[in-house]
Amino acid sequence: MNGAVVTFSGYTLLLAGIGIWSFKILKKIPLERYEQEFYAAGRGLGGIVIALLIAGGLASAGTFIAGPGMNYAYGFSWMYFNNFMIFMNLMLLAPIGIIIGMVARRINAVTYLDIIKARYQSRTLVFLLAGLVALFLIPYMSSQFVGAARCIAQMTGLSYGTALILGAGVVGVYCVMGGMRGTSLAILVQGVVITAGCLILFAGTVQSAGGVKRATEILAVQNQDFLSPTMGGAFPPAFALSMACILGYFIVGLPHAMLGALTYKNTASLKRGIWMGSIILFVWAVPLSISGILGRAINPRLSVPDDISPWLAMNVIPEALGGIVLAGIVAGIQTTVAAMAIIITSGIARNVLKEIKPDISGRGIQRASRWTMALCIGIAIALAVLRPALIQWVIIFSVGGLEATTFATILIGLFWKRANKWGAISSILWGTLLYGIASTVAPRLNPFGMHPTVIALATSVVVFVGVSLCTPPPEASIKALFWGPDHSDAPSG
Amino acid sequence: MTEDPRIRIARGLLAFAWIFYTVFILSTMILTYALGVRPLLWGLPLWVCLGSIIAPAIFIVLLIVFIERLVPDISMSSDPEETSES
Repeated sequence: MNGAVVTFSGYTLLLAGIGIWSFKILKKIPLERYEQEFYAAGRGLGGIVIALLIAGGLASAGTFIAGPGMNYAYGFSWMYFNNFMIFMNLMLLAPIGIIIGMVARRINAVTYLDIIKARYQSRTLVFLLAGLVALFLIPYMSSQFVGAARCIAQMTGLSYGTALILGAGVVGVYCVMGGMRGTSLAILVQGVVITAGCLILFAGTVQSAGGVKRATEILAVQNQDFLSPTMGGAFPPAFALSMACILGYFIVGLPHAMLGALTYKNTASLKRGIWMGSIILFVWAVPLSISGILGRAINPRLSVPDDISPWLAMNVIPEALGGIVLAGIVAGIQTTVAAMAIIITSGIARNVLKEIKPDISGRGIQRASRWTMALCIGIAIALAVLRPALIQWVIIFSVGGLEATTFATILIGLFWKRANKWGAISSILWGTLLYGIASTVAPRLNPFGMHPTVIALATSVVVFVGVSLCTPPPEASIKALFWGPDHSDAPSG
Repeated sequence: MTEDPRIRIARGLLAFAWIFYTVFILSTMILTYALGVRPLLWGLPLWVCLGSIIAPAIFIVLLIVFIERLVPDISMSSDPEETSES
């Protein structure tokens, strides 16, 4: 057994231990408080956990495997696009953190659909969003498992199937057993491991390449376009702008990112979550991007660009440290999957189930939560057998799709009092339809070579506003609940 | 309808986030597309060093200052007896 396997096994056992420990904590929680603990960790998370929860939830295999892979394939140009993610915590928590935190405490909301239900009072919207979120996030989760399995298999010599079970199984253990409580504990360990992994990989790569300057000169000889911000015209500024929208302005439309807004303890935690998240993402994204590019100067012959991170971990750093890098990469993926698993499960097991069977017992919800989560993770593992070549495109497709469909309903609905359920339902249906068409049969709909998300989202906002204005306004009690100081007559979520 | 005073802070934070991010994007776009590859700085193309490393680091420092100084600590609880949190 090599050093990398030993280090990685130790990390995996630690996570499994956290899952079991969290399970024991949850067992002692009274049934009436179970959901708040399982889905929102008792709404008591501090700044660093909030920062890691959002940063880790959004920075997925796209950051740790596919990001360096894109840098390997397209040079320094992709480093610029990667940097747009640095302010994801700001763009998510600052716009909606206060209002969601306020309403969540008023109606004891623990899921994003509790907030949506309270705002729009619509069962249709609950079913529609729960379905769409599962539709977009399960393939996304699956792509994460592919990244993790490839990485583990390459570095340990295990088969792809075994690596898949190992990388995904432990997520199942701490998510299903510990819920948000287990995830928040695991993420602290994972944050340290990810950061150490990124820095070790960067240092090893720079040393092996003979310094940054030498590697850059080698890249210039290989292809001068690797040094260009547009990769020789392949990625024009308009493409950069659409990436800035997807990773910044539109990020608020991602329901799994809303976990941080539902779970922070107080405004001090909220503020720290915003700026600490930027530091964390900077420390992860920049060294990994540079490692991916410099990796090309060391080995320009990889047939699958996404293999560059694990290849570097195996070949440019000592074995035991390679295990930390492997654990770091896999941890980055696991944090994302955990956030998604909680969001999908909460939507189905708490909101959809309660709509269908309002008299369901606390014990019933408890069982449904665990089984739904196990099922989601199981489906994602099954889909991971398909193994797409460049997982970054799957990630961008899923993120873009979710943003295009939910942005208006979440952001505009939280600030515009006139918004109603008809506007929300219409904009979601329109955004989904146009995104599907612009991504497949009619790419000409995308102006200036932008990503389909931009046109789908922009027009869905118009539909949201137009339909809301043409239909009756929401009830006064909803306005009182979301914006008024007195909420005694407001409907519960 | 009287509005909860926290809504004003929420709107201010929304505006701040969008303006801050827009200034960040514009600044880095200028540094990225207007500067050339040479001379190398720290061994990296000039646009990478300034637009993708130095500028983001400066904006992170600015963010810390703005968020900690401009956003007040307010109570998130619906408990009327609680007035502030730290």
